[in-house]
Parts: sequence; structure tokens; C-alpha cells
Amino acid sequence: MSQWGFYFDSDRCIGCHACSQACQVQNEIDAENITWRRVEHVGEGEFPDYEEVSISMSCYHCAEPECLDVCPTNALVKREEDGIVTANQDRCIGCNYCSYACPYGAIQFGENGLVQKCHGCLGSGAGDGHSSPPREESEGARETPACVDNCVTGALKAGPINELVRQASEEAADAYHSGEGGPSLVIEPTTKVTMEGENDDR
Amino acid sequence: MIDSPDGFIWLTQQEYGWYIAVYLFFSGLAGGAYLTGFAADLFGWRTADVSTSRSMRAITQWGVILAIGAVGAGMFFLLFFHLGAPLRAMFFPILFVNFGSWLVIGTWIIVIFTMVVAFQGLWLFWAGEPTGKSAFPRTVTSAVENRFGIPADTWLTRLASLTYPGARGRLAISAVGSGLALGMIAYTGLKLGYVSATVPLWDGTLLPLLFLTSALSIGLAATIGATAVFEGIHGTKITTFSVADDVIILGEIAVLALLLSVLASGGPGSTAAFELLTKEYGLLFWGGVVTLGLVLPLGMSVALIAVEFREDVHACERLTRLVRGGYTLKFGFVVLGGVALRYLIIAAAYNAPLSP
Repeated sequence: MSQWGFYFDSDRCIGCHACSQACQVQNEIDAENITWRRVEHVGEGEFPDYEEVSISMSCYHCAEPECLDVCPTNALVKREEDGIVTANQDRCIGCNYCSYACPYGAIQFGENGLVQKCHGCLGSGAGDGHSSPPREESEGARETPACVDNCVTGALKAGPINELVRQASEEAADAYHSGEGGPSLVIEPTTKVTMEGENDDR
Repeated sequence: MIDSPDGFIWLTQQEYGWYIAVYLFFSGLAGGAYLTGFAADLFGWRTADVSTSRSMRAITQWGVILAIGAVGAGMFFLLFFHLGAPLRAMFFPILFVNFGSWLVIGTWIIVIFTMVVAFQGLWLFWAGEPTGKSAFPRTVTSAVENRFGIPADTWLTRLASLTYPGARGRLAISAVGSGLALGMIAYTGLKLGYVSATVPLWDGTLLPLLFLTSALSIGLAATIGATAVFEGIHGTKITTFSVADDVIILGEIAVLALLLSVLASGGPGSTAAFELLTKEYGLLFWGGVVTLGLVLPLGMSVALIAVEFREDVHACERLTRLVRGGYTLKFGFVVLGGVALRYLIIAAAYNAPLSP
């Protein structure tokens, strides 16, 4: 399996929300509280020593997804072809347990009470993409996800994780390799917000 | 717009609502009530005194009634308020295939526990002579049979006599049920504790212990409280049960204090949960959980024991009523504290923040 993933460089991100809007349109998400991809604006310090960084977040299709561990019905599936985590709405009972297991807030529940999340644009809409053929053989899948296609600065990329690691800085590659079992995300270290006070809850 | 002005990415509040708190409360109460009933069953088994034996039998009956009622209420809230696809969940024997998930383990514990409790109820009410006001299920089936001609009582009596394993066998099966009751209580805490990496409030060790002590306490309080209300306090070992509840409450206070200190000294997610609990939800926490559910019952217990120590409670009817009312109130406070605790454990469950 060639794990598929995302690359993000916060120094390039201008916080324009084109990625999150493109996701909403591509997947026909109307509800305001449902955001498979979202942009968080994180600030630190006080004027004049103030810095702000924008972070584009979605499901990171973890190598060992914690959402899968807790799902009673195996409604969440990590695909063998590309490692993308998809949601099978036909098996979901809507217990919401997975949404608490995911550290990134990537799992959402729609009006039908069933799980929905980013499927890397393997299809379009909630529950789509599950059991679909590999991206290159699929008629419904986009070559690259809508969020990546609409990123105006190249801050967000997607593809086989090994290729993304090769394109990344040494620091980002090392950080990715040290997070074994974690998110399929190559993230460039931000030079804006200091990393002090980093989350030590886990 | 700055979503996170403190340098962290705070994720949005999750999906569990008040109905999950209600489900957790009823599941804990069911387990605690059944265990209290089992303890009374053992007391009744050992005693040679007929009056005590009858009183213990009444407590066991209340324990079973409350256990089955609470499991039913919990399931109602879970299925019809919380789950997105409740009808699909009914097919759990086929659909629940991930046996590593606490939800699957918990479901099977609840199902088997409910079956054991149902059989205990069948044998207690229809295989022998039930005693006291807790015998009302038998009264209802008799009334249905007499008034409408539906032989509900005859059928249940026949089924009970066909399946009755004998007094010793029933007690042995009840011991298995007690193990399942403990398992069900543990499940409510372990299910949440399993995702403690994401939700710091749900400490993987302390939350299951907190739910265990709280469930034992509220189950005992509900069962002995119901006994005090409907059967009176004479010969019910109410003081013994009340002191046992006090010991459990002291344990619960210790676990809660430990959890608060862990939260206060933890990372940003933990301290945020601490602030939420003790400040934003301060009135409910300090007033409901701590004062109403823990401190006040202990204080009342001390006062009631002092009265019982000085006076012969059963010699004066007014005093008997006063003590009976005092214990009922005490147990009522304990149960309300249990509701508040579970509501807060869900309401203050914020995700740990991420760093950019």
C-alpha cells in the first residue's frame, strides 16, 4: 500500500479559506457546523510582539487511526489501496464515539446522524468514496482533492506520502518519520508562532 | 477573526449531549442497585431471623426493580435521543463486529446483565412469595389475570417454576449478575477513559474509579431510599447500608480530589477542563456534585447516627418518621449528586488543543 496524505506549509498559507470553501462546494456541504476541512487562525503574544498563523486542517488519514479502534461496527475503514480512511454510512449507528477518539476533530455528523468526513475527494459528498476503486481507476474521484486544487499559494498539497516527504524540508521529513502510526501529514515547521507551551496533554 | 488567540488550536465541542449523561447515570444506577440487592440477598441468606430475612428480601426486590427500570430508561435515552440510526443498532449481534471497542464490550455486558436481572425478577416475584410493596409486579399480573382474564400470572408462575434453579442456584446466578453489574459500571468509565488522550477530563484511570464509586453510591442510595419510602426502616439495616454508602462517598471524594489535582496541574486541555468544571460550571459542580451529592449526605448521616445513638428510634413514632425522612432525603441528595456529576463529565469534556 502506498499511503496517501497531505502536505501543509503554514508559512505559505494566507488564511484565505479557499481550501475549506472548495471542500464545502465539492462535497455539497450546506450545514454551517460541518467542516471536513477548516482553517484555524492561531495568534500568540500581544501587540507589537504579536504573530499569527493560519492552519488548514482536515482528516489526516492516520497510519493507525484511533477512530477505527473505537467504532463498534467497523463503519470506518482504512483502505488497503491508499490508506485513506473512509466512512461506510450503511454500517454507522451514529454513536459519535469516533468523534471523541479523533484528536483532530475531523469526524463530523450530519443531519441524518451518520458519520461523515474527508475522503480525499475519492467521490463527492458524505459517505461517498467508500469501496471506490483506486483514484487513478475511478471515474468519480478527482486527480487531486478540491482543497489542494484551490490553494492559491501551494501551501496545501496531497499525494502519496513518500513523494510529499521527498518534496519537504529535512525538518518536516524528520518530524513525519518520528510520528509513527500518526497522521499522514507532512507539515513544515512554522516560523511565526513559537512552539513553546506545546500541548502536553498527551 | 482569531479562533485561538492563545497559540493553541481549540477544537469545537463534540457531539455528546445531556442524554448520554442520563444514559451513563442510569447504567451506573442499575449496576449499583443490583449490587445492593445482592448484598441484601446474602444478608437474608445468612440470617435466621424471619423479620430480617423478609426485609432483606424486600431490598433485593427493590434492587432488581430499579436495575431493570434503570437499564430500560438508559437504553431508551441512548436509542431514541442519541444514536443516529437506532433501528440499525438493534441488529448489534450482527453489526457489532469490532470486539476491541468498549461500546461492543459494554453492549454485550448490558445485554447479558439484563437477561440475568430479568430471570432474578422472575424467580423473586413469581417463584415464591414476594414480600412488601416491592411485590407490585406480582400484584399487577394478578390484577391483569383477574380483571381481563389474561393468564399473565399463571404463565409467569409456570415459567418461574420451570426455570427456578433452587435458592442456592439463584444466589449463585445472582453472584454472576453482580459481576456483570460491576462490569457495566466499569464500562461506563472505561468507555470514556479510553479516549482520554483526546479528552483530558476523562482520565483513563481516575474517571472509571470515579464512576465506580459514584455508581455504587447512587445505586445503594436509590435502593435503600426506595425501601425506606415504601417499606419503612424497621429491620432494614438502614444504618448499616447508610454507613456503607458513607464509606463509598469518602472514597468518591478522594478520587474526585485526585482528579481535580491532576487536571489543575496538567496541560492546557486539562487546565481548561478544570476551569470549566470549577468556574464556568462552578455552581453545579460545587453546589450539586460536592455539596448536595457528597458533603450534605455525609453530614446528614452523622446527625442521623447521633440521633439513633441517643434515642430509641422505634419507640417513638414521630422520631421514626423523622429518621425515615432524614434517610430518604440523604439518599435523594446522593442520587441528585450522581446526575449532576455525569452531566458535568459530558458538558466539560473539551478536546485537548493542538499546537500549530
